[in-house]
Amino acid sequence: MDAPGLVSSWSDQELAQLAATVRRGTPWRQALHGVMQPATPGERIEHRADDARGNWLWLVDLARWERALDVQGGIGTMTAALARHFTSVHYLDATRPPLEFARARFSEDRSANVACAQAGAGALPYRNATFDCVVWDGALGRGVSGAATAGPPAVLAAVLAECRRVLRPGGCLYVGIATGPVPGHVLPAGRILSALVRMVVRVIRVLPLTWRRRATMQVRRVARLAVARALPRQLRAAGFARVEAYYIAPSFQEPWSIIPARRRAVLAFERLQMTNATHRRWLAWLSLHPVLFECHVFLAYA
Amino acid sequence: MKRKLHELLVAADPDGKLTREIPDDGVLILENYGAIPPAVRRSGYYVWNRGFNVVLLGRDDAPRYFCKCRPIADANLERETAVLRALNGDPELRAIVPQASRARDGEVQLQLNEFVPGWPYERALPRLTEWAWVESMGQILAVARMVSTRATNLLPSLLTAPAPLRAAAAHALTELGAVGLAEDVLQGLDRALARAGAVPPLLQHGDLWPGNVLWHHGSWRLLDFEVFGIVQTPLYDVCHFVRTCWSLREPHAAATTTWVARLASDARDAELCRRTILNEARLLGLEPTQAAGVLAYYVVDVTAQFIRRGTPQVAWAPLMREVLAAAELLREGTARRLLHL
Repeated sequence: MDAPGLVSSWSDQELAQLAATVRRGTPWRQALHGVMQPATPGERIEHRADDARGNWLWLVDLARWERALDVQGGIGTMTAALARHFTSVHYLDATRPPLEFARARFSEDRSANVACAQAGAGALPYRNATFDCVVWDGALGRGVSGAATAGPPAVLAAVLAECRRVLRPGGCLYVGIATGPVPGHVLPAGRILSALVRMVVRVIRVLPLTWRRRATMQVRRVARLAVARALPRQLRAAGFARVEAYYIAPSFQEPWSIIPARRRAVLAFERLQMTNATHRRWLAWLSLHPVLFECHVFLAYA
Repeated sequence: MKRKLHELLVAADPDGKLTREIPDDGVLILENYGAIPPAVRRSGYYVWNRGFNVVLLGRDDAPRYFCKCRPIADANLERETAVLRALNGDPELRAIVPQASRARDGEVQLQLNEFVPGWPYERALPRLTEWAWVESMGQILAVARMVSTRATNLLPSLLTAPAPLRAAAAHALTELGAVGLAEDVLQGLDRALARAGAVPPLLQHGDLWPGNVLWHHGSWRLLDFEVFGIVQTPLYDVCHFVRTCWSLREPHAAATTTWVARLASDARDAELCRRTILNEARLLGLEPTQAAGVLAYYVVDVTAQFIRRGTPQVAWAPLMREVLAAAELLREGTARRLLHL
């Protein structure tokens, strides 16, 4: 009951509609149901558990569970999850509509340990070393205030540095990135990888149109390798000492599995699946597992 | 991993192997269906959910342990652990039922099992030849029958007094009526169940389907005992297993016709299913009329269970069609028609 698609953010129009609906006094769950796209026929909607989105916190090793920050809170799903684990949680969003919705949501739920404020992720209004945990969910999925004109690498560098600044020593940053079918739109691949992808896409043009589209999409997924490599590098450059990478499958919205982003762990996961997807096992065996998953999560410790 | 989770795993680990073998980042979360701690709505009502499962990976990232994590309000996990301990204590069942230990604090409870590698029956089933399918079903149902028979001695506290099928199904029929099943259909089912009489109680697995069966080191192992013993109607597991096997083997037929109607037909797969059910009924000491009564009870009960869980109509509508098909056949004659007797 959280995000409309695989990527974990709502469009500005949908957020404005949500804010307008709760402003009229509609309960927040009802407002979400109203805006949400209808489920596909036959979908097992009883398992659409946005509540389960916070279970990644069981993977986090923290000495203190006191203060947490959600830097681009959106409709507040992750904030609600944090509020069940931490003594106090701060919700931030740069724009007014999601903030209005979140305020209505936490007021209606009587979440006394959640404070909401308007601020961009590029300039966090907190002193150094304030939080035990910082969450940036749907990173690069929406524009970042104060860095709107910069490219994704510059936005990442700016926000990660701010997140590191407000984290206490030993604190943890969660970065969730949905790469989508065309990952280059999230974070561009390096020159060599981009050139290779372009070359293969050109070769694919000899195929019939119906096959061509599918094959092009598959090849473009290779650019996800860039996300998997660039993020840990950027996190270390921002001053984080240790980085753990995970995949969420099938999506942030339905996080049925959280898989360590390591070759043998992915192979173990693939063997536990009921589908006989041999090509997936081959890709994992070749250490190309970032290509298999659209949702990447990084836990970085200060 | 969260220290609290680590401490609970250590507490549940009887011989201390876990702490040596499992690295801190060796956690693979599966079936992540509900938050722990659960969301609290304004009324203070704890939202029902199932928590999540964890596969603990060794230092080489190979699966070592399987762990179920549930909110403390979930009563099923405690029950399942008690059942597994009792069954695993039996020398004959040790190779069939996993060993389990348990730990809890004020927020979370967990059940720890050694990871059992193997070949899931669910994956093999669609490719089996007809002969291999019937043969493997017979073997698996024999294992389930042995577990049920021995469990009845090992867990006498779970047994309830024998009741006629009609009385056992009364609550389920009321629930079906509440979602719109017509009164004449309900009455027809009630009459048919009354004719079938009573059956002796036998603890059932309750969710015996191919996904809960594993081929491990040359023998069949059963998994997921969360609802073991709640159903005590013999042959219930057999009906559930045969129906789910058929659906997985014949997905196209299952999408267009009901299993109950197919079972009463002259199709080759229907004959194999009927023969399997009747053979198991004979081994359990049930008359064919009783077997047909249990089959009607099964479709009624399984549909009511889905409705009771609050699942949307799209999930239980196909089962409701099975109930209607059973009622239609019963209207035409006796319960025996269900099994083409």
